[in-house]
Amino acid sequence: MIELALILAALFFFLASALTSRPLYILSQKYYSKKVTSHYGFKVSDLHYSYDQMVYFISLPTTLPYIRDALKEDLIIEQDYSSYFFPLLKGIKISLKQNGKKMFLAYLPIGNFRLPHLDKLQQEGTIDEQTYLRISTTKLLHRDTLQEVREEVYKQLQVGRY
Amino acid sequence: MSKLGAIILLIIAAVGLSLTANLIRFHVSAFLNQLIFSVATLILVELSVYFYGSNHLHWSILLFITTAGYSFKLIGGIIGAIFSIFLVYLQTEGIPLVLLPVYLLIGSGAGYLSQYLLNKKKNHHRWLNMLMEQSKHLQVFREVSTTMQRTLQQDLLLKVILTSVTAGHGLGFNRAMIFLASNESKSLKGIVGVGPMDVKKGYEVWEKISEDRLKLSDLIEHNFDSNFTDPELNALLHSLEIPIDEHNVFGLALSSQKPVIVRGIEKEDSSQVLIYDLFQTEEFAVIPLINQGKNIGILFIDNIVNKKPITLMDTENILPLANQAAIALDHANLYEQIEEMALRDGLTGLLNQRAFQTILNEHFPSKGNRAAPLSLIILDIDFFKVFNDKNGHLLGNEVLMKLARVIVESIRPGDYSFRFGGEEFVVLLPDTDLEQAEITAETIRLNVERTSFPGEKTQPNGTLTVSVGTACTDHRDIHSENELIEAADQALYKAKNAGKNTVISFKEFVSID
Repeated sequence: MIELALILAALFFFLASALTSRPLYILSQKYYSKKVTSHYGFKVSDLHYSYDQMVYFISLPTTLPYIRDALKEDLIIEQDYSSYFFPLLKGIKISLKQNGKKMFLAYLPIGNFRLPHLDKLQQEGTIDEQTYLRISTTKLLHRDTLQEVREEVYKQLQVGRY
Repeated sequence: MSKLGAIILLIIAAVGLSLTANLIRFHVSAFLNQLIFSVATLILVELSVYFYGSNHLHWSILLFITTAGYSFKLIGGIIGAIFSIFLVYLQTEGIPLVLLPVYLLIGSGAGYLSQYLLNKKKNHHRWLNMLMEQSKHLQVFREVSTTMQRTLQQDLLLKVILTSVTAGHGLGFNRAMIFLASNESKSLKGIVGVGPMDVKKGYEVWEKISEDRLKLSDLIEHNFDSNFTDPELNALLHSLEIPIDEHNVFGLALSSQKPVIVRGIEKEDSSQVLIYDLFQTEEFAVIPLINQGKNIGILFIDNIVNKKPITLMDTENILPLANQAAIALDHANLYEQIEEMALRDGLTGLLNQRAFQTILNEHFPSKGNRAAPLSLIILDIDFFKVFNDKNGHLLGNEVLMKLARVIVESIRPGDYSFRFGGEEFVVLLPDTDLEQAEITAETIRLNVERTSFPGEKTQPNGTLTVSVGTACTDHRDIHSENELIEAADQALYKAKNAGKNTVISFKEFVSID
């Protein structure tokens, strides 16, 4: 009986850890970012960013009809984490799902998601690389940013990168 | 408590523990995060001891050992195993030494497996990064080559190349400049640069680019506008001429035809000192632009803003772009030379009639703007037929060449001289009224008279002279290019009739159908 109890408890422990780690990781980044940014007198929402470091795995502008004709809703944005139990955001993946098949279109690594104001603070020595990463993670995972990334990728598919 | 109740309570405790641990561990360092996760499993094991007694501790502790191994890899697994032995010893009867090798085996196994998976992930990530990097470069090359195929304009090519080198989604260097090689003067001349003069300006531009979400095409449009490219950088570059010397870094890059990275200024190299003085950079790379063995120029890159070191991989990645740029620049240069040749008279080197039509149209005052008058001088050699008959066409050609030099030396910078055909020459004087044109015309006539020409003794007056007619658009009856030419031609005709070797200006307009 005790074997079953302990196995069940361990299963629930790991399951709960795995399921809650990413949301709580994001929450902690948000909390930390808010604390740091308010200390230095700016808001995460005010930060300008550049996603032009987005790497596309297809030629732009594309001539492939099934990509050009894709709907905005067909685009899937996934957050790419390093692990279930110790999650760290590596980047965001953008893929196209059509007829049950998934095709990778683009990837934005978190290290390449640069924010000029943070660049400046880091260069001045006000914040370190880790703090930069936590704030940029918060910014990238913000609903508005992800929505804008979706819009941007869709636009690129329609009219081309340049 | 019933058995089921104890199970449910243990499960609730497990979930509570994991949530509590997760709430805390992402606010602390990575080490503490892993420690809290491992400790949480230990607490879970201890809770089971609390509910069910310590009889099962010797195997339930395996949960903690494997978690420690997963969290801290091999070292974590081993420490977890040793710690567990002490714990089992403290909480159970007897010395569990026999368990030690089992614990160590499980701990190190979990640690090794975790390390193996981590390495696999890291390798995968490294591969992904390399592929992404290559993909990014491919996009840049595609864009650059497409633009290069579209144009032979050197200016646009330079914009595309430099923007691709410096743009965020391009190669991402902070600053890039192009120097073109001059084979005659054995020097490199600064042509154009993109990037800030200092760190502060760099961040301002970076902020602006991010705020406006500018893409490569936007940047190409904006570059060389004051908001995006510090004019100071380009002003400095234009004034810069670096000798190609084997002892300086630029000469070394060109002679070895390989990129050179400078990591610190060498004071013995005057070119490096000059670069430091002008652009405040201590680390930069010099990439030779070479096409078919010919030195086209140099691409200079540095990271003045983020101070990111330039690596061999960086220069390796930029080489294909530099090679493409060299081919395009060489072609553009050849095209410009051919275009220039098409607009020049082969004998005298002056602009030809085709160029005359273009420049005349460009400078002819528009209907609404008569404020900037355009003057025209037409001249031809007096008795040139006689000269050719007596001296032959070869000597006649020599005279035409020398006369062209006299005309060029007699006019002001900004004036244009043309060979109109035969012995007839034309000078266009933008922003010049008739009075000023007469002065220039008289200067030409006088200089021709004073200059000694071969065979001129055979001329009827014993010297070679020209007759000159002038006209200006400030005349009320001149409204078109053809009317201006016609007016100057009439003035020349009058000068011929007035005894030659004279300047006559057009005063009265007679419309000729």
